[in-house]
Amino acid sequence: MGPGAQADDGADVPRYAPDEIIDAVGQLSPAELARIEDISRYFAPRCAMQPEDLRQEAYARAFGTRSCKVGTGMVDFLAGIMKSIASDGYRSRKKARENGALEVVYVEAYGANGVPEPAFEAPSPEEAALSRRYHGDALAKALACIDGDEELQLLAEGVFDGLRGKELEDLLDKDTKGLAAVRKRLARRLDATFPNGVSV
Amino acid sequence: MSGGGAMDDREKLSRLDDLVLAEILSTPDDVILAGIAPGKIDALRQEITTARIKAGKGRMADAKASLVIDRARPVVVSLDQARGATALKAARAQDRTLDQKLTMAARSGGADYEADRPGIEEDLAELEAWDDEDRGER
Repeated sequence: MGPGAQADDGADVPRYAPDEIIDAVGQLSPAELARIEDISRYFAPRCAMQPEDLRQEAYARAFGTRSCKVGTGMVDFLAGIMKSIASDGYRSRKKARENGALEVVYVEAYGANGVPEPAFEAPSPEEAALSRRYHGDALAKALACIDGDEELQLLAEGVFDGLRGKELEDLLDKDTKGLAAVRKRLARRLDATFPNGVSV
Repeated sequence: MSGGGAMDDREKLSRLDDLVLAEILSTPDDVILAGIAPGKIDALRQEITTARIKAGKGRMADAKASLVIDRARPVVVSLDQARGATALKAARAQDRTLDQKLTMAARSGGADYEADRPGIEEDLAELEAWDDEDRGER
């Protein structure tokens, strides 16, 4: 299973019992905890949460409602849950609007680094429209952070097209080591875009 | 660069996310730990303890709710079976030999007797119903 993949596909594979998940998460090493912290900081701004709140939500789902295939690493499992929460973040925003509550919005450097000024977001009754806007906005923010860097933009295009390994090396005219370096640079750029979590 | 439909944007974002996750997961332990403030690991462990306690409380609340629902559920006894039980009680009161036999059966093979009891009561209820029919026809 790749990183961030859903852990609950398929019905007939063996699953960990909730107590096994709780015990395994309780025994994570310091480096694994640091990875979870890093992942939560990456996803938290997208779903307008504080990183610690996102982690608590992920633990609550891991210890309660989510199932996990036997053999899946706990960091992979928790990363998948956080990715899923972030991907469905538009639902909680819609709910907040419907409840008449204040909507928590991540405010980045609007008007700088290619990030456009905030536009009025009229609430839409259609979930598909919300999803389109939500993911479109998030993608635009991610791409804004590599604006002007042709090498990273080319790698992103290759990843979007589903290219892998040698195909990506050919696209970027790099060897394996060179591709790894560019991948690392892209990942760090994306990760560093939101280094301090959400600003409320 | 970000063109495409709704599914396209979601999928593109997902692929970028996977790239970032793969890098975080493959970063050497000493490098990832170097970016962590002193005391942060203990705080992260405490978060897990908190989540574990919340999950335990949640499970306890669910169990209590199930117990309350279970206790509030009325015990449904079919009229026929209740009637059969009354008939069996009456038969034991009238027939001392039968009463002793059933008592012995209950003592020596409790499980078998208890398993048979609903059947006996059902048979007696059926007999009672036939008697009612007979009386009605007369």
